Amino acid sequence: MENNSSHTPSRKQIYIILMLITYAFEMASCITAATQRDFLTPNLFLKQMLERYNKSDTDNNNDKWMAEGVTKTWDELMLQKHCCGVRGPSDWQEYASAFRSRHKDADFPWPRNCCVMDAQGSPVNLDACKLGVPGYYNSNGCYDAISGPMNTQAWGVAWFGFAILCWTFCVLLGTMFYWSRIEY
Amino acid sequence: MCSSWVVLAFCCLGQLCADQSLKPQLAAPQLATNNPTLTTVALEKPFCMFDSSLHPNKSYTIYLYAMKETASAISSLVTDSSGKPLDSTFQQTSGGQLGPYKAALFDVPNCASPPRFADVGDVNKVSDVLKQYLFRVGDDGTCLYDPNFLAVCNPPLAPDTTYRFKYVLLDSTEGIMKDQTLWSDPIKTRRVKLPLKIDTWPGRRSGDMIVITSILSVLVFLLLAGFLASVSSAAMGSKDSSTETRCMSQTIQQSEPRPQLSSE
Repeated sequence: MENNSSHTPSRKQIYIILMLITYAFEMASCITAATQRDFLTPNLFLKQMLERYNKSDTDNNNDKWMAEGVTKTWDELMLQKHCCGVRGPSDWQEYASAFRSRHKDADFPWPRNCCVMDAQGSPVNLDACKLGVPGYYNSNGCYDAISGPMNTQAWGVAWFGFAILCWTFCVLLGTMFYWSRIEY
Repeated sequence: MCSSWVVLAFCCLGQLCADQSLKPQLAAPQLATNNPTLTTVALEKPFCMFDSSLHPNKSYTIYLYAMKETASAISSLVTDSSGKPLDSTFQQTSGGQLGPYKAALFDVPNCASPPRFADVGDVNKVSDVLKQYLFRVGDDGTCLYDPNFLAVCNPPLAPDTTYRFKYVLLDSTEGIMKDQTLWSDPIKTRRVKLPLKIDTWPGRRSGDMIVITSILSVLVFLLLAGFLASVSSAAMGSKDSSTETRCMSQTIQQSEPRPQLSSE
């Protein structure tokens, strides 16, 4: 008896095809993750901070919820990491913001949490903070505090995924050539 | 550029440079890093500028006048015809648009013992040092709207506008101007940019992403090539093996009946 015609694929070939499809999808997701990481630039955080921090006239509940979230997050971040703005306190001076429309520049050149605080949680010297006297305000930006942990974790995940894909590649290649030696 | 240095050298030689330096200056940038801001300007107080006009037994006051640079075409006089300094306010001059307005008055700063910058590090002394060393024009955001406010009002300045300042020495008892500095160099307040204009496009792709994409694409290509090679070699192999099995099956069929015959 003759074998089946070689046009219908055998079970092993179907398996290889399915594994290749899986591999392709895994590859696509790894590349997408690496690409999306590029979108988290300082400008993105800056724009969000300027538009939402301390926003008072919110349009709807969703807007209000986002504004409150951003305000609370930035307040805690500036307080705990001793930083101000994304690139520096000059962000508050250079750009118009929701914060600027709510507070006068003469009283609040930047948010109070940019000032160096004493043990009670109030600025050590308010006038010195407003003038920008070194030592009484946080002069560095918060982007390093945000991007540092984010980059290390994203870096680990992206390269681990890549390593797994390389291993899968070797296994698939080996499987294909091992099975191609056995009769179908 | 060269000629101004020459003039300065001559001036200093000829004792004429006294006028060159007698202008209100911005506060030292090491101390006041945020200067000028959107609506405020921090000026150094006039240390040692009026010493030649001071008599030991009299009391003096210093007035600070501010005006927009465009107002110098209209009027830049700070005294009236009798030598008394003007009493103009921010509202009367529309924020310095029509002429100079009085922004502050304070005592003559101590030339002999000026405040030291080193004291700024001390938390207890920093307020005094700042108060003695500089004056912040535009500091008071509420005095314009407070009807009970009687002192000199120092409201916030306008953003993106050029201002000029002048110090005037006044004899407190007589009320006559004794000396004045020149108008300062034009000082412009900051301007804000709109956050809508911030470009959030990431621009260049990072190196990691390019490496990952290129290597993975190559691997996928190799897998497909390997798969096609294995399929084609399997197809070729199956044609050879199908002829082999036919021959083999025939030989088996031929060899099988013989043992039956021999046993019988």
